Amino acid sequence: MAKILLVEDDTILVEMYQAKFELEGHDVKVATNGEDCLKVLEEFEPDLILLDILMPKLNGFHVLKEIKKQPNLRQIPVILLTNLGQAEVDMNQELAKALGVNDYLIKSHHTPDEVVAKAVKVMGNHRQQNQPPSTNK
Amino acid sequence: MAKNKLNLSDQSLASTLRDGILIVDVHKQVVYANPAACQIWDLTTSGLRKHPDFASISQNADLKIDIKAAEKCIDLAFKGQVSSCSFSQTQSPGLHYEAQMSQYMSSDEQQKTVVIAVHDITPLYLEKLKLTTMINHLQDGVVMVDKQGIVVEANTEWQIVFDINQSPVGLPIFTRTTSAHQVAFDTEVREILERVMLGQRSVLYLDIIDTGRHIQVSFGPVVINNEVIGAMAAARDVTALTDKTIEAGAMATKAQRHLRELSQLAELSAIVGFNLDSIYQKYVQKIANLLDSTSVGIYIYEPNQQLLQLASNHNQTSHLPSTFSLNQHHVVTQAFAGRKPIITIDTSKASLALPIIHHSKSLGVIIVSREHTYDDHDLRLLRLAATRLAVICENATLYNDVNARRERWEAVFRFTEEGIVIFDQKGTIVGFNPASTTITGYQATDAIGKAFGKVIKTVGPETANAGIPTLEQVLKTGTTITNSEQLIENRLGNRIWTEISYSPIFDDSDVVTSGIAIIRDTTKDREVEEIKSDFISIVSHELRTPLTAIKGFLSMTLKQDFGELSAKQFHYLSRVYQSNQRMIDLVEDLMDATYIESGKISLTIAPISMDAVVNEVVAELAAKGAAKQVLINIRRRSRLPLVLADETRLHQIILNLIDNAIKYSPNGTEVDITCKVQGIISLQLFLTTVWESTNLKSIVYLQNLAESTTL
Repeated sequence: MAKILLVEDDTILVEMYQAKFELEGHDVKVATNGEDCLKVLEEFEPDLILLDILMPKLNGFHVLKEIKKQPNLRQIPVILLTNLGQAEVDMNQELAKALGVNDYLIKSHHTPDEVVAKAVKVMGNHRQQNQPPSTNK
Repeated sequence: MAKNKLNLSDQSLASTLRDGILIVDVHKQVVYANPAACQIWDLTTSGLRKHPDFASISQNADLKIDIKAAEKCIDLAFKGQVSSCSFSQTQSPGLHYEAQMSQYMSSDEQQKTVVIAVHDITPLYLEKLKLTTMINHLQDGVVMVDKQGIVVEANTEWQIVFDINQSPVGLPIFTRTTSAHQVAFDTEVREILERVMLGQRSVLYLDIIDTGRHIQVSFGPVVINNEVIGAMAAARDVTALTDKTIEAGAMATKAQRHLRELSQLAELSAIVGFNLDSIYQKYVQKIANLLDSTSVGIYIYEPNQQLLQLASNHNQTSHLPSTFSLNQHHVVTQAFAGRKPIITIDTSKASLALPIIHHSKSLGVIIVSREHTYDDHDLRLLRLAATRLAVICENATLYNDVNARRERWEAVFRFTEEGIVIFDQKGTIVGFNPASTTITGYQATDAIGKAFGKVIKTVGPETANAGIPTLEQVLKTGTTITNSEQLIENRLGNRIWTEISYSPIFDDSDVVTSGIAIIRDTTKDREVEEIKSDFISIVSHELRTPLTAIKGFLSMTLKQDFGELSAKQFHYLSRVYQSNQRMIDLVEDLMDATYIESGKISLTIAPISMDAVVNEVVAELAAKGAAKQVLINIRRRSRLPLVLADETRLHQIILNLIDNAIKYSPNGTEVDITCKVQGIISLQLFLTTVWESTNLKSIVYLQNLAESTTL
């Protein structure tokens, strides 16, 4: 149903999330690093970006900054995924909020279907926010 | 036959003449007597005619006369020599006469006669008698000598003074004395007489050696008509005086000796210092002088070797052994053991061994030797010296002990890698070791005298340990602060992490006099810590990824996304899932624990209401609980106090605790939260849940944070 861009460097995790999201009927595109992510975004407009932070070459935050710079990409809701510790997450939460991230998840804390649920929620909220009250989907 | 050969014209002369004139012939018969002589000899004219002899008339006349001597004079006169003798009246008025006999040839030269001219010398005699009496009453022996030094007069005392039996008259002065005794003169008699005859008064002393008497003889000239005709000598026995003088002299000598000893003892006292070797040497010299000893040795007891060691010696004669063991039989060991001085005398010398005692303890022995023996006085002197030496030894030992301790401290101070900074009550640096220089970049000379804060400059934000201690806290309240983490700025402006411990220094009356700060450069430690925690972080992070994958795939499998599962498959896969979850949680805790300890988390401390936090958390987790039909109950005994904590963290902790409680409680059970205040600074949350391990983990977690947030 929705178009998901999954940015994650670990192939196994990619397999896992891709499997789940596709099981739920979503369309998943994958980028395994920050550069690829931006490349993909040139042609693909997802409804949601799942963004890993720790990636080679360009890390999640850098990518995020880039995305937010571009007017056509700015609107797309982003969920940051990470396996950093809670503490690091907390430290980064400020930054994340400042950059306009919709949610920040620790991968090991959530099962794949929880992640899917969160994704759906975020997309739902986003649609509600960006559409006039009279219109509904 | 009496023939009056005298001229009748002389008759009147003869009669008016007061002097008596007697003329005797060769037969000593009186041939003529003038009226005066008649009176003296009580002669009548008729009697004269009988021509009596001189002897009989003298006898009859009741005169005190030595007839024999007189007749001798007459005989001498007949031989042509003028001589004289004296006589006196026995009856009153007791007149004294001098008779001078001289030859007289008659005018016709036919008869040899002697004229005896008698002169009344009574006044002279009386004067002489007075003088003699006076002189004889003198206690001094007095003689009169003529110009040749012959004694012409002497009083009786002279014989007594000089212990001689015969009169010295007629001989040169002292002749009788020198012939009777062994005499020593301090000056030559001849010299004295020469001087006296020149008119000078002189004194000489003589010692009568065999009787041990000392005589003082004073000489004075006898001057008549400006001419020295002789001398007077007065002799006095001054033996007693001399003895007293000698005694006084001896006492003076003794006093001098004591004075010398006192000054030597004072010199001994002036020897101070801590170099025992030089002190022993000086003492040995001084004692040799003090006790006039040719051999002096100081032995000191070495307890480690149980030997008496010769510390120093001054030896002109004998050779002293260098050690004595206590069981050796010798005066030195005896004196040491018995703690009493011992004097020994043998054929060639006398020795005195005196123990050096301090507070009833024997420290050693001083042994002295010389030819003549030692008396009590010597013993006293040596004791004084020994006592003084004992005190010096004790002082030196104490000083050396203190010095040794100080040297050890100095070694620590100088070589330790930790900075040691000593500050006084005003917080001014008084001590600064080399390690402090390494850490702060300031030389000791720069640091000493400056305020502590100016050299140990603490900078930076608050660290995990809230509250930076001040010197005042240490100095005023006497508290010790250990291992407080502080970021300091060194002289070059570099920032260095350190751990500083502060401790007050108390004096004997428990008053803080100064303080000491030990600074440890924790840069390396921190680096190690960082490496450790980085390592753990990396490892944990790396662990997370596979754990996430396991969790994810298992979850999907259990959800039967990959196909149906049998009941058994489901059951056991669930167990796998749970185990994996535990691993994830462990890794989580490890990460967090590392984070907290490394101090990377910054805390905002503020007063927080525990009640509020608990309520919030429970509200937050209500939905989660509801999903599992787990009831959350809060049981409160009393209001929970305000605590100083970081709100976020506290919230997080309690959230974790209760979240876990819910997670691990089987469906349909209850989670009871009991809040109690135990003690002032600790707060415990008791969670009743089936899963015991939860409790343990949760409480440990809470404790960790509580320690790092002071209340």
